[in-house]
Amino acid sequence: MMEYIPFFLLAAGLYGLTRRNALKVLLSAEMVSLGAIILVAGSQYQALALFLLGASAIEAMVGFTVLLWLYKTFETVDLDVIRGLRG
Amino acid sequence: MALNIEWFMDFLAFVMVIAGAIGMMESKRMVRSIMYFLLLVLGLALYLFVEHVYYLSLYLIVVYSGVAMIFILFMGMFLGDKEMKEGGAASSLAGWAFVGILFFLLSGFSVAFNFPVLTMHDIAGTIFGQYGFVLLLLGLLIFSALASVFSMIEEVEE
Repeated sequence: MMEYIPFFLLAAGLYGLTRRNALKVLLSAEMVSLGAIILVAGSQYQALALFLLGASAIEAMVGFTVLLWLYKTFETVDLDVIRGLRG
Repeated sequence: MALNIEWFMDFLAFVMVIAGAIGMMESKRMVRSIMYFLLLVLGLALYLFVEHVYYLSLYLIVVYSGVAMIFILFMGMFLGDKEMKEGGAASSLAGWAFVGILFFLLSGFSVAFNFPVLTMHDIAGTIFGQYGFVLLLLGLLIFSALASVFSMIEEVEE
């Protein structure tokens, strides 16, 4: 049952990336990287899992800093409203 | 028929991960989303614990609880009084997250500079005896689960 969890995390994370709330998008990206960590943790490369864990935690903090600046600038974290860099 | 504890913990971890993911997506409030995310992380840590990957399980809890705590506290600072009140509920995570990060750093230094005395296993073993590390990990698991449950209850009460 738990063998499918990395794939569930990947699928749920990809679904979450389509949401409007920037925080949920950030946490969904974390879910994808957690899926990778769990996948690697089951293998013989557990040191890599530890490294990935640190990297994804740092990524979360950087993302959160960006999110705070977005909120201070636009006073919302709704990604449909923040459209300054649209192509 | 005896209850297969490993199967039960595996199932519990599965439920925690699924509930955490669905709750995070569907929750309307930011702090609650983060708490559900923490539930998901706890589920994964429990799964790793069952799979005997103790170090990674502990680090997963410590790192993501620290991240969640910082998320909530900073959110409270920047988004106003109401959110700050909710952020305060999660501040109980701060103390043990700090201790955990200290362990993490100490074991990192011990590996890097070859000071075997400072490994986390040795520290826990000295304090709790032969099964110290397992006991320490179980304690942290229970404490973190309790802390997140209490923060959720406080949030619901508000």
